[in-house]
Amino acid sequence: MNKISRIILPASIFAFFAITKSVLAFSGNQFYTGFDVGIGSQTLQYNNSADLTGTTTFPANTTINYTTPFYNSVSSPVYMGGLMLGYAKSLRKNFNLDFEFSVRGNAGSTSETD
Amino acid sequence: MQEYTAKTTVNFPYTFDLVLKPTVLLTDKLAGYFKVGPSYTHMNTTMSFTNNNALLNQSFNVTNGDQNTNIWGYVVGAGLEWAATERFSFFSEYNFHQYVSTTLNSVTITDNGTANGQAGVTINNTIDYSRKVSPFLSLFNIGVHYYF
Repeated sequence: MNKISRIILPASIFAFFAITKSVLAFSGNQFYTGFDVGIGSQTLQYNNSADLTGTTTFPANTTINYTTPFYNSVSSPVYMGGLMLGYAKSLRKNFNLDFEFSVRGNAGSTSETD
Repeated sequence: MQEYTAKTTVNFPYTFDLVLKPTVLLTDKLAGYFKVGPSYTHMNTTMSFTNNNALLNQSFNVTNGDQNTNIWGYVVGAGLEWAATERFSFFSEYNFHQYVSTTLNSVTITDNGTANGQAGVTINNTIDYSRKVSPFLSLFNIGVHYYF
């Protein structure tokens, strides 16, 4: 059993893929579809400001007017999954130009505090 | 300590990409490609304020700063694709998205009150809080293509 799982099975899989024809070697034009999953980071650069105007009655009526800038860059992990639809156009023997449309859903949020 | 703390939370629930992918066949079963094109995403932002000043009996009001908007950007990336059979291939790629800088809803805070135990001391403040955000997404993806 050990020999089968450690040697014969991987070798069979490798041999299967090695002798199977390649879709990438196809010389015509083809549509394709697919899906993907991924992980990454979401970065947000902020350029914020708070403009305060006001009055205080002590010790005398005092008018306040100032601006506080806030510059922040924050990152957090994001996880995604997507679907795609594409068209691979063969231009030369070893060169394709693909047109691909994809829609992806992202899970993850980034918070910033001023 | 500031009179208040402002917290903005952003997420991008979905993204659309339309790309061109020049693809070069490196071997019969392996191809490398670049990708570039426009990207469109939905951005949700929520904002919350915390009043930090316990010295005053304040009336502290904040207008709503939540916002949902759609923004354009671009995506560039590169990847490798490996053909498993005549129909299926596996790929792994890196994508970088950048979206336009977006001005979020500005918020007006009115902050009026009288100091505790200090007769005659009152404040009457208005704070205009504005935010501009530049979003970036960096993603490493793996996936499967089916050709038909």
